[in-house]
Amino acid sequence: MLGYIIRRVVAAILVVIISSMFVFAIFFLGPTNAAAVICNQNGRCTQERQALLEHSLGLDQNVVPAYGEFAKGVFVGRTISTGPGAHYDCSAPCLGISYVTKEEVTELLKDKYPATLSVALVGGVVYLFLGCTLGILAAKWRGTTTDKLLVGSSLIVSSIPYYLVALLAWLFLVNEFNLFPKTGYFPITDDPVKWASGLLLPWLVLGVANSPQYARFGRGSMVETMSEDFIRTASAKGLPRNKVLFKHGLRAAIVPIITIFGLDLAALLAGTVFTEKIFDIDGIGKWGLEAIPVDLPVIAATVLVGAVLVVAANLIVDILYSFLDPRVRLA
Amino acid sequence: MTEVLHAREPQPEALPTSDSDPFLVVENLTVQFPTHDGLVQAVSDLTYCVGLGQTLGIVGESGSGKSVSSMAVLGLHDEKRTRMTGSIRIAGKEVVGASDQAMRRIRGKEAAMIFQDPLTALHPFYTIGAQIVEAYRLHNHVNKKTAKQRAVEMLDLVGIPQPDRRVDDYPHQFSGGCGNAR
Ligand SMILES: Nc1ncnc2c1ncn2[C@@H]1O[C@H](COP(=O)(O)OP(=O)(O)O)[C@@H](O)[C@H]1O
Ligand SMILES: [Mg+2]
Repeated sequence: MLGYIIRRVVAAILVVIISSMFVFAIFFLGPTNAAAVICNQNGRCTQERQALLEHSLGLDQNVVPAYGEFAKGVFVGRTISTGPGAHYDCSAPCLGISYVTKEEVTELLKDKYPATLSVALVGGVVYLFLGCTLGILAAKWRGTTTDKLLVGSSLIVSSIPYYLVALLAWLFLVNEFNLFPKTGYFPITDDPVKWASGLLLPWLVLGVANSPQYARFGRGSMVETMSEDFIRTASAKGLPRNKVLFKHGLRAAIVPIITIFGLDLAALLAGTVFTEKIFDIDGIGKWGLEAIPVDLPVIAATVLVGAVLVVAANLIVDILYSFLDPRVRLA
Repeated sequence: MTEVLHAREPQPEALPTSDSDPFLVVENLTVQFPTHDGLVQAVSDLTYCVGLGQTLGIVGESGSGKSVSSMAVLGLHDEKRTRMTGSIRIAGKEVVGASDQAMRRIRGKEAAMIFQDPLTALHPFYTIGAQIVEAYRLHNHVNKKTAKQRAVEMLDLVGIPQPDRRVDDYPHQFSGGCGNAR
């Protein structure tokens, strides 16, 4: 088990390093010249000023030493030149400083991450429970009108693009009819009530829009499990129907759902882009989106966070699996 | 494959049965499954009876309805997907058309079934001890410890070596049905 975990962690680190290289290279070598954009921000841009900026941002370097510098910052920190003659000491873990706001990316990340965490964790739990509950009920009443209604409505909801659901919810429920409080992120440590009321609608929208997928998956997993021989054994013992359904059926049916949820949650935690953008929540999804295509350090940081989360989630899911299913041996 | 029906000697707590009626009576049992391709006639007009202390072996080619008729005795067919006519009486109680509630008290107590493949017939995520204890405690008011002792005794009775240890194993840790440790 320990050997397995060590091997997986090493592989995970490699994946993160490689993906960080790719992102860095794509934006570094990409068509947008960050120096030109920044230079043009305050009007009078001259050839010399742009060249100076390019130099101070390190954009005139080769991509390999530039990445080396970036990587060095992550582990030991580095000194960044912020303009002619000006320097900034960025201590490890240094993800650089934003080209646009000149703030330390690590600090910004710490600042923005709680919002994304709040949206993703609660929203994810909402759709897991909502979806699974509907799916289990549909499986329990398989073939009945209730089942058909549940399956049908889940198809309808899941065929509407998510951003549209979110946008309409915001337009009507907040902007037009004020049925929900104004959305946004307020730290839970400052005011838990404000935190919850600002995120209430995003949680609901995220929950409702994603639940059909889990309802269908939960239903399928449950129906399949209920046709297993061991379910017949449970009934043959004289167990009440609900115990057969929950203790024996759900216990087995939930395992693949937990697996999918783990990976799904990782993707959410890496940034709920549409949700944050539409509901005006200052998380890393919106931050990363707004950094494109200029603010390379910010983009690199958000992608790095995403890669770490997805890789970690894969590892956690695999380990969790061996606890949920005694037949699985990690080796 | 054969299905073996065995009616135990009466136990002290067993319900008294009328002397005229054998313990298990199956009369004119017909089991049909409506499917998309039409009606499947799985069992037609089956009649037999088993008295207390008797053993009846049902032999027949594959697909002849041995499993379907035996499962009908425990009322294990999904009533929405099955058409059953005739009569099955266990200790005088009618099974055909009985409620799930009523069947629950019969299943695992007056009538029980041992399924063919232990690896699929047992829940993969619970230890065999837990699964035996669960069945035993459904019908006997004893605490978990006593029930587990009974489970160990039962494993010993069927010749499983080191039953006190094997009771905490999962079904997949047993090799194909012969009860020998891998
Ligand atoms: N749920 C079902 N739906 C439709 N047909 C079934 C179902 N269960 C069993 N059958 C059919 O009933 C017949 C009898 O099956 P079975 O009792 O399992 O035979 P066996 O004597 O081998 O145990 C077979 O033709 C089988 O295909
Ligand atoms: Mg059979």
